[in-house]
Amino acid sequence: MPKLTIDNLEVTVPDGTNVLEAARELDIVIPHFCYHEALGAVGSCRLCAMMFVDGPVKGLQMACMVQAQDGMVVSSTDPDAMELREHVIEWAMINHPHDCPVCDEGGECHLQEMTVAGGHGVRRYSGKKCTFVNQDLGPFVQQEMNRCITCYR
Amino acid sequence: MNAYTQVLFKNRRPNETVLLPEYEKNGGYQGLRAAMKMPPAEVCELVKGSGLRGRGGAGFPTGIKWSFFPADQPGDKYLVCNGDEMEPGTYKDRQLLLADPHQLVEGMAIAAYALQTQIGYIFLRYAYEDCFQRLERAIEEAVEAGYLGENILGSGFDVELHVHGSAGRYILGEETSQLNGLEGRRPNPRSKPPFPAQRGLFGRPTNVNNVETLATVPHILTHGTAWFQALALNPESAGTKLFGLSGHLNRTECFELPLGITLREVVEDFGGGVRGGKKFKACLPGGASTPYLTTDHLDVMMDFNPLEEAESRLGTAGVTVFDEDTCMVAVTRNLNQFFARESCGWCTPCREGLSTISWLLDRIEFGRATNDDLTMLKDQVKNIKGRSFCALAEGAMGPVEALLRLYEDEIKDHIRKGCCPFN
Amino acid sequence: MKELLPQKQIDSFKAKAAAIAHPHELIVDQLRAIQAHHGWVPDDGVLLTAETLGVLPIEVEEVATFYDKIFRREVGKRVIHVCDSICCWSTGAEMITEHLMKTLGIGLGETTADGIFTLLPTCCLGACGDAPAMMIGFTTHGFLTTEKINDILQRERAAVAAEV
Repeated sequence: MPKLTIDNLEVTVPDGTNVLEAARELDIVIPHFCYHEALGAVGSCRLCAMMFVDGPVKGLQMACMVQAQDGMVVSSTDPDAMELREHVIEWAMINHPHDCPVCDEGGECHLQEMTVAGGHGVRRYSGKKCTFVNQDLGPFVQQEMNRCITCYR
Repeated sequence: MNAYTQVLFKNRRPNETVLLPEYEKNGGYQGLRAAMKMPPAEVCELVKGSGLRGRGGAGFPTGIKWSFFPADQPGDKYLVCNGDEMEPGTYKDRQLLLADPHQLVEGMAIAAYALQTQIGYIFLRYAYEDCFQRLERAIEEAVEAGYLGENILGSGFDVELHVHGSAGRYILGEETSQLNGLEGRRPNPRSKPPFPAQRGLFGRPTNVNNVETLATVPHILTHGTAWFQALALNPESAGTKLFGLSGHLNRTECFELPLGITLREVVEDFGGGVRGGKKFKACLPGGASTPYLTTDHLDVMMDFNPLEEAESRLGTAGVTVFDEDTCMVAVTRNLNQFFARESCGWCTPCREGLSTISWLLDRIEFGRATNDDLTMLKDQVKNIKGRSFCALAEGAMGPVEALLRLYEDEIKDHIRKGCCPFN
Repeated sequence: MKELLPQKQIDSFKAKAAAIAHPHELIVDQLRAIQAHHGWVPDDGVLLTAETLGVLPIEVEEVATFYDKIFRREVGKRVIHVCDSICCWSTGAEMITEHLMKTLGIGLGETTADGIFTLLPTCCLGACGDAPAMMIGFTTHGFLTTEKINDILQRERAAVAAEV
């Protein structure tokens, strides 16, 4: 049962818990896309960056990919971690259409929440967006692939 | 031109491939015989003692990589030769395989024995079909002569080699992506740890080495570590290296040269100087992901540690030279376009970040950029370096960071003039 | 539609798949074999590979769509891959690409109306000492000039005509 410190708060978690889940035990919700409790850790979206300040692992790491260990000291508010999270969400939003007013998901959208959590506001990129061709999934499912940010969730 | 000792290229002749009888006559498979007279662990120690470093771009000490491998673990274990050479500016592995492929076959047999791996794959890029045919023939010859197959040289050890022809894409050169490719999975990279030595091909211990690295092994076994170390001009280093010259030179050929040779000697003697009587401006010392060297570096030793001290890398020793009329923003734009297009799309910083940098370099090159774009370029680099899932994006930052470090003036010139000053 | 793969080869892949522990290993090999015979890999080629090796179609498709040298759309009898990486770029690739487009009357990604040539960009071919270079099928041509390109295209046209 490793004991670690996250944002100056101590927490003890079962063996095999990753740091993202450990933080959640403290009601600290780290922004993330590709991690899901039922599907496991992937490590591709790069959004759940935290700074490992002390302990067996050091440096900027993806919280979902690191197993909680005794003596870890982790920060979610480290400036480099916050800067990376802001950049990752800005990158993820580069190709996303400005559809919020007409999109069904608006108001209960994980992407909206992650955008606010990351601190991203105005898009600096003014080039062409990547677009997709929708697949035909039959009469009951309408795919809107241009809204996909390929977060691998 | 100095006549340096030829090892990998000693049998090389234009437009011909060395077959087994000639290879044997010139000392071929003596290395394998020597290896099989020692316990496998001793072969690993010998390679470690030789100072051989990986020739695929990363330069990791080969013997140390081999020492991480659980040779004694029972069950399936694999040896993979990375023949996916696709780093722009790099063409040495193709030259080696066209000239004298038995060196790779012998090297893999020795490595297989040292690491106790019974199955070996040579992962070959799509464009090297000419090498594929020559390798298959060499393997056939080796099996017939008893150097591969069951009970090789009467040792009781079995080893089989297979050539796998790939179907494109640069990311397949990344070892974990290559393992996925060999397995027939979509070849995105895997997270490390676990490393291939622990969990690689089909979840089994796997050792991956470059073509040139493995081809060098028989020579070390045949002639010993002292001989290998004496080949280098740098007393702290060991061996020769294949240097593939390209770009604005009079002679763009592949030469085998001692590690520690100066950039000046490579460019002026072997490259025949910059073409058209122009002056040297800059070069990539070791392929597209290595930071630029300038006229300040002409007397630097082309070797692993000296180039790291010069804030660059030896990489694959693919030397691409640019003359005085070359716009470094345009060069960086082309290099970044390569990386952005070859991104496998798995992680956000590489997939979106490299495209963003492409867009910024387009704006700078075509005179549409502002100082804000230069600031944005810097924060893109800061948030991509060390933040991506695999080393592709890391490599992409090589030239972009070098552009910012060495040629910020050229960027500012583009912004100020509203056009490329070199057009 | 032209045959995807001769039955003998299909049987060979089936036998190999049955004899090894991981039939997925053969996906790229069979896709390449279909392309060598049929010219490109249509949807039926993906399904054939899945059926032959005993894997799911999506497992084949996710592999087929990753590799730029597996064509999931119809291509001409000769596919020209012209390199646009740094060594070729710095020694005239833009000029020879313009020449190819002008001579063939097509842009990158397009096929000539007579169905003979498809023109595609490619990353480094590993022929940097012979830059600028292009690959047609499996043959790499280097030190390209407009004259050399014209000769090569003429020879390829003649070879295609002889194949019919």
